[in-house]
Amino acid sequence: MASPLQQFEIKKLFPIEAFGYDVSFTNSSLAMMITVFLITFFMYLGLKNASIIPTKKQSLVEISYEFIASMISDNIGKEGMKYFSFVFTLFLFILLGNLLGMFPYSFTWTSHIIVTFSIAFFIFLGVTAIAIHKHGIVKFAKFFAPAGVPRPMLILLIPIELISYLSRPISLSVRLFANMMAGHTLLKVIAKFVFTLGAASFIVGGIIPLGFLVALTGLEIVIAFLQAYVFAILTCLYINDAIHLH
Amino acid sequence: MNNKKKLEISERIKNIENKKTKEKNLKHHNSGFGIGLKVSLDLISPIFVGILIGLGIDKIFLTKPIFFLIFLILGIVAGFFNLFRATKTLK
Repeated sequence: MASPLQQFEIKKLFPIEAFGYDVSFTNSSLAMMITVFLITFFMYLGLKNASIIPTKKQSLVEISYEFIASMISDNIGKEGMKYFSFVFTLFLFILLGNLLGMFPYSFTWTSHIIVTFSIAFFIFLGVTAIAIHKHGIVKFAKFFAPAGVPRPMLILLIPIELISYLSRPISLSVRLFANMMAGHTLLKVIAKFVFTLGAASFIVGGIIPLGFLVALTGLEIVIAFLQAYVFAILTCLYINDAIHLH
Repeated sequence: MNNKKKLEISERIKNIENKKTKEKNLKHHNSGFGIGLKVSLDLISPIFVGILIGLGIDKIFLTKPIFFLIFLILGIVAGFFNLFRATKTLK
């Protein structure tokens, strides 16, 4: 029987090689493209005949807009609205990527550490660039040395602050990746129970794991929302740290 | 009739706004699940970063275990620092 980890396998759809690197179009790239297509489709359908009294589709778009807008104004403040489009895109991209993975036979690209890590790493670079651009490099360096700390303690504190700053992209990416991968693996394992127990005991034994499976699928959809939310809110917090260096 | 409808609509809007403020008040009592999700990785990821930095410095200066150990300890301290900071903002 198939391994529960087989769903994460990368398959090359169109092998491409450029400058000695393998840049093939894989099923992961296809899933990402479908996600982008879905977002575009969702926004287009919602805003096609935009009116003051929204239709169902339009209000769905408006709800998602307001959700991110309130998240930004709560966490960053008014000057954070400049970064609205970025956070909104990020949230929708991850949310629809997570939800796309819930369809049978599709592929969850958020369950690959390299994808989430590259997203998180570029957020980290961008946030650092914002901080340096806004406050200059000297003030940014002071971010690692909290005020009111005696001089000798700084020898210890600066490396600690630096490590905890550098660990941000790792904790951000591993959180999303681990949740998605663990959830999908668990679903596959329970699904295997349904089959083997059901086959061994004339269907009766499969009923209990099937109930579990249904409940876990619901939980997995909640986690898909929650992880996209956490990713977006942490991005907001990092941008907030960059704008208001304390 | 138009006036009646207007009143009805304004009442509905009021109801929705009341609900919204209630939800906002609820948000402050954050669920432990969300905090756990956030804090758990803040604790362990600095340790990995510390190990990576330590091993990198050791590879350059050929001082195998010294910087590894120093940055491992610093990483652990940084992890608990993060935890401490998270609890400070909880209230």
